[in-house]
Amino acid sequence: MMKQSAFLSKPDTITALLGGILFLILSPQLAQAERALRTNGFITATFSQVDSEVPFMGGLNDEINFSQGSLIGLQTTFQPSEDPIEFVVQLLALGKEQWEVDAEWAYVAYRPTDAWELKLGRYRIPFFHVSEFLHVGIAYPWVRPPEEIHFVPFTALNGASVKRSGHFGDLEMAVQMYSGELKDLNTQIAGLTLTTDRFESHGIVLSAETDSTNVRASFHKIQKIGITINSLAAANPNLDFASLLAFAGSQGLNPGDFEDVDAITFSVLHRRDNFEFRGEWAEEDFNENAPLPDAYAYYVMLGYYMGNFMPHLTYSAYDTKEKGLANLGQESIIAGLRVNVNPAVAVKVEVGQMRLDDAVGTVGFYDTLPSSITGTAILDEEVNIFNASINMVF
Amino acid sequence: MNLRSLLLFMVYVFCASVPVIATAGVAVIVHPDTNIQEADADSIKRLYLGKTSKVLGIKLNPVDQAEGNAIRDEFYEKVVEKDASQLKAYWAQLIFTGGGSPPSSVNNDNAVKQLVSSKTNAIGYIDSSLVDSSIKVVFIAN
Repeated sequence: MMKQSAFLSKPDTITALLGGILFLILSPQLAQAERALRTNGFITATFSQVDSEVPFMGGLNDEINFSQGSLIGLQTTFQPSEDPIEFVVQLLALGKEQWEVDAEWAYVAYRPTDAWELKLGRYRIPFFHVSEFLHVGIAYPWVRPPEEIHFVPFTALNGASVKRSGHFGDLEMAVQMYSGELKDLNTQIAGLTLTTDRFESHGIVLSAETDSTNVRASFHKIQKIGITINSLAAANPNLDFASLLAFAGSQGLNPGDFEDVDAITFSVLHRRDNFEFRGEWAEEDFNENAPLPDAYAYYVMLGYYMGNFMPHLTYSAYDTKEKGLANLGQESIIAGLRVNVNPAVAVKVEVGQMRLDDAVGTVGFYDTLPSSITGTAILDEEVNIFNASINMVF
Repeated sequence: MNLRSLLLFMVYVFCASVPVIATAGVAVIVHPDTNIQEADADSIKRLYLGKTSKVLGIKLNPVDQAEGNAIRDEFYEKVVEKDASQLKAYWAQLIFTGGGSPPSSVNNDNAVKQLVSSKTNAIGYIDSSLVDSSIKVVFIAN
């Protein structure tokens, strides 16, 4: 979970978002007015609960949690008529970050032709198939896209991106290259709060698409510089730093303050008749002294359209290739149903079970380190989850 | 009420509840002076999905109709091959990732005709029964 610098206070947040929504509601003619200035938005209300008392996946427990997956976003686009230049700002307020507003996207785009696009500013990192629209729930089937792949804490960058696209008959192809950085970040993993002085990511994304199929591959070179353990979260009350370092030593680790990650992803989306298949694979290779071990993750999903209903089933897994400070290995099976109430509103429900790997010291996606070093009760190997959401765009 | 009467009643209710689309087909139209005589479905589809801004090398601004119009649903089903929910999800993905924005829309067939007949760089679609000499048909979807 990343907490980026908020540039508006909480009252400003509510005022800005409500003001924007009221403006849209009270100005129905806006959608058909001059296209130079457009405002769009999305809202997701999510209810999640697991059957574990120990916090799981960034704060879920055995009480219904509304804030963790709920969010509201408002985007304003300014494009002077016929100009190849576009200015975009997307403000996002997340329930899990106390509804503080951040600019998730804030960029200038230059499109000299249909084929070329250059973006300068702040944009979401195109790690996975749904990364760039992860917060726009109406665009995919799940309440929570498979956590085993999508738990990456860094989501946006300041930098540049260039994209070249073209088509050969029905086949649309694109190549995107990006580079950017962020500074002074806080992240939480396994109940530890880490600070990173500087985060850089550079990557290339290749995609090919027809009406029925989308294939995507990407490579990312990520560096985290100046990593320090900032604090121990409440989930690790019995752990002190000496114990943590002793545990790391027992694992043959000497965690440095530098992380160098090579990440590769590959995804397929295919629709045929009423069926929809989605699959994605991701692999991360860390440098030798990184706190986390090399890992891979994947999911496969099969859904079936029945008019406005879409039941679906997803299997996903995260596994580590070697020892690390915490073994996050786990697998999940999620059964879900999406209902399109109308074109702009979808309701979704999911039930599922997550099972931790058998290896000693595995914590899966619990918000804690292994009980062998925290001294807390041994974690349940199976966690059941229930999710429901209402997703809307306007 | 016997079983036969009940079945007849249910058939009647079902038939009465099925919406009847009275359009004779969807005509894709441009200004009479626009230098396009005929367009193919794929070019029109790519234009309305924001994948290109040109048809046969000519830059055109697509004009859409308001959500809920029967002719709009028919156009997207026959030419673009997406239903209303799929279309919303498609544009949500593009809008919020900077990938493009949907065509601007007007209220009905007459508004489309009026706009297209006054601008040489506009393209729209209307019920084919409303075609007249103020516009030029470049594609018909039946």
